Amino acid sequence: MMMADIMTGETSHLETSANKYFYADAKIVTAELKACLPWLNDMNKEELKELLNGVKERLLDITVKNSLNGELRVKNY
Amino acid sequence: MPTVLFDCDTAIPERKRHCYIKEMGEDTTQYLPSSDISTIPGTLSERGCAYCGAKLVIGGVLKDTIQMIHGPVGCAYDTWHTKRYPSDNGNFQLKYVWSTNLKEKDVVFGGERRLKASILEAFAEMPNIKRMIIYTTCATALIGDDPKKIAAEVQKELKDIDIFVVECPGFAGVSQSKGHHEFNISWMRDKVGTWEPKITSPYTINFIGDYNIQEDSYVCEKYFHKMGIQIIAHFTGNTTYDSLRGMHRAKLNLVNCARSAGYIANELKKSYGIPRMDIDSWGFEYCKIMLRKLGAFFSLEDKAEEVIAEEVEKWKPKYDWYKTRLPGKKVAIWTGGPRLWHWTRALEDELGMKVVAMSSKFGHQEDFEKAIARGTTGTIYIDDGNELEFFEVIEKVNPDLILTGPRVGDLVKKLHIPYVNGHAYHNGPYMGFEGAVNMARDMYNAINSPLMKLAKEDLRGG
Amino acid sequence: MRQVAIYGKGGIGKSTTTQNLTAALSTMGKKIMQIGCDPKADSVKFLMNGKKQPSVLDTLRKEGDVQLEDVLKVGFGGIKCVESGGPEPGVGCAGRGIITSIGLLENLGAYTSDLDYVFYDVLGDVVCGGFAMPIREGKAQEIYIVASGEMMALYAANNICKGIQKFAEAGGTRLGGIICNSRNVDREKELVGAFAKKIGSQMIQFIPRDNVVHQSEIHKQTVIQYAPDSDQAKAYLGLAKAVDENQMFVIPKPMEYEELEQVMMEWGVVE
Repeated sequence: MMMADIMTGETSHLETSANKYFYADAKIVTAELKACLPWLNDMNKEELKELLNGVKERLLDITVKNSLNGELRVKNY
Repeated sequence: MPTVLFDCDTAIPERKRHCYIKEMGEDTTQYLPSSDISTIPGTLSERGCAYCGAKLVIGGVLKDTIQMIHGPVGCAYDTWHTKRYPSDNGNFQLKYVWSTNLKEKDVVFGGERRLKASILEAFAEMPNIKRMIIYTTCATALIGDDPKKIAAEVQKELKDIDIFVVECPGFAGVSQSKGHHEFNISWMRDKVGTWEPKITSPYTINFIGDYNIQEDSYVCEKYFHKMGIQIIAHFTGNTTYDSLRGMHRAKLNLVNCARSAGYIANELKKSYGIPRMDIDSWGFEYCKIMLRKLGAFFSLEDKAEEVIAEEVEKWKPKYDWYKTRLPGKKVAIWTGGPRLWHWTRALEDELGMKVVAMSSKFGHQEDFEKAIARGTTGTIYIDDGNELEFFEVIEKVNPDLILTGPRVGDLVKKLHIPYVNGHAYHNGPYMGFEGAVNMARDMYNAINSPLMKLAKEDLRGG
Repeated sequence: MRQVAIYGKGGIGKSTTTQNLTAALSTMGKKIMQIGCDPKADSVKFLMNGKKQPSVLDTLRKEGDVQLEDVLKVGFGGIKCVESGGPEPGVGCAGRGIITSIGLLENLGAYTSDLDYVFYDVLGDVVCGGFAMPIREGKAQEIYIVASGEMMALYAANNICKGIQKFAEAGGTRLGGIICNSRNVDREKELVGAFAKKIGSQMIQFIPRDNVVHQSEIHKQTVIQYAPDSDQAKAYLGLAKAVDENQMFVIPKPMEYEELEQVMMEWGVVE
């Protein structure tokens, strides 16, 4: 999870273009989150990772697992 | 609340699942309007046909290509110059349209001979043009004409020309959306990888899902060029046929309109491993994000910040002027699909406006997930909205301004509500920093112009 | 003016039956126009003694414009003969061709009030809307289906009934009966009779199989012209009389496939 790496200051691997893309996305979101939610800066690495995992789960729930978007279940799509 | 049935729809209760009003605490896993399904008879749909999606939206933008429409003449006229996408070569694509002008006789005996004659005539008439797209329409698809066979024959005879065939008759899908899909997939299958672009920069992108509406592409292009980024292809604003054949050489696909062109970005990712980066190119803050993301990807962060600083300095004062004059204004966004989610936060967060209603002609449920996620509570979401529903929404929420196309726009004008052309713009471009200012200006002018108030008065007196 | 459409499985003998029927009616003093609605354009050949005539659509294709005298030729017994024609196999739309051609004939004034009968000899199955044109919009009010005792012929007849049913409800076209054109199948008369009854109609005439039909066609004539005193000619005259006096016009009740098989088993299987 690239975002957790950036937030916690760990180094990211940027060899592949897919990774570079994830990095770019994560970097911008991280900057925004830190600006909007200043309390994030007070959390330690473990807390941050746990929080981000929770966010990820929630996002997956909304956009994939529990999504009502019928197209997601169309095989050929 | 669950999806709602409008008063005007009591006779067509099937419309209920297409209309939704968002309430506090709700998300799209609870309620999501049905979309991208057949229009219900009797609803006065505003949709276009599948062929129109391929020709008017995507293919017709190409600036060096003959658009051969194989069908009765109306199919050509009605998808010609109704959208404002200029080009830097004298607007070739806006000036001309080509039709095989199919007649009864051709339907009975087959239209292939006529198609071939039309192709040869068009190339002879315009000897500098060497590229062509052929579209089938309802009539020619029904009688089973084989334009691919004819295209291959002509390519053999004329050698230096290249022809792309889109087989997407109007009836092929529920809306224009099917035409976007068909064009994307066919182009990927038949043309991508058949031409090698000249690479001039280590940083290369395809800018996908932008159609140079009133010079949108030029604005974005300017930013990218300042950052040292080479655009291999615009899909399809101000673009050439051959540049689109070289899309496989870009390192990144920057996707603006995900509905009309997300497919080709996905296919390029699958076949060539090119990442797909979805961005919003409308709105001041979104533009900053777009450029920063792009900068992060290519490690050109400094350049991105330079461009942002320069543009912000130039345009922020003007933008700020409107920022103090638009807050609280109620706006409805009734466009094709993606602009719902591209615009709603920009208008609300940056200009303080309130988006009270959104309607999409051809968006899929994916678009509604995005629009509802970005939209606020109390907002009315409609799929494939119709006249009577629009009237009812207007009565309910009383908007100050409606962003929509000319069809619905003329309708709301009669109610003396100002509208700004959300498809082809009033005085664009609307993309980029300067575009955000233009859009704010057009909205401000529309709301404050005395025209509508004067129009309301009966000058005959009494 | 009675407008009559003849349908039936391809190769069942529609054109032969129709030409002999119209020829027989002409000997009874009836004024008739026969329109072939098949791209093969061989519906009126024996009425014209083998003389090939330009079809409506061929003329339209070549000349761009059609004059009635170019496409309407008078044959045996004063019968006005027209071929609709159509595209070459594999291109264009033959169904639309029939719509175009009937529209043209109407505009050119082919349907004159002195006619007692207009016959449409239509291609095999009702494959699309175009081939249903003769029974749409108040044109042919009567339909006769040519069938034999063979399974596929009855299957096709049943299918045609499904089409008729649809148009009957909207437009008022009715089934006048089944013409059995014998293929010398066992208990054929009983089987086709039972089939006709089952769908609520009648077997209006049984036409035996006879070599004289073959002989007359070699001479490019109808049986009525070539061998007017033969038994076969009598069968066709019988058909003409039955059609002329027919009072039984129904909306057919086509069968489900299983039901049709059952009728076949009941009448067709010989122990």
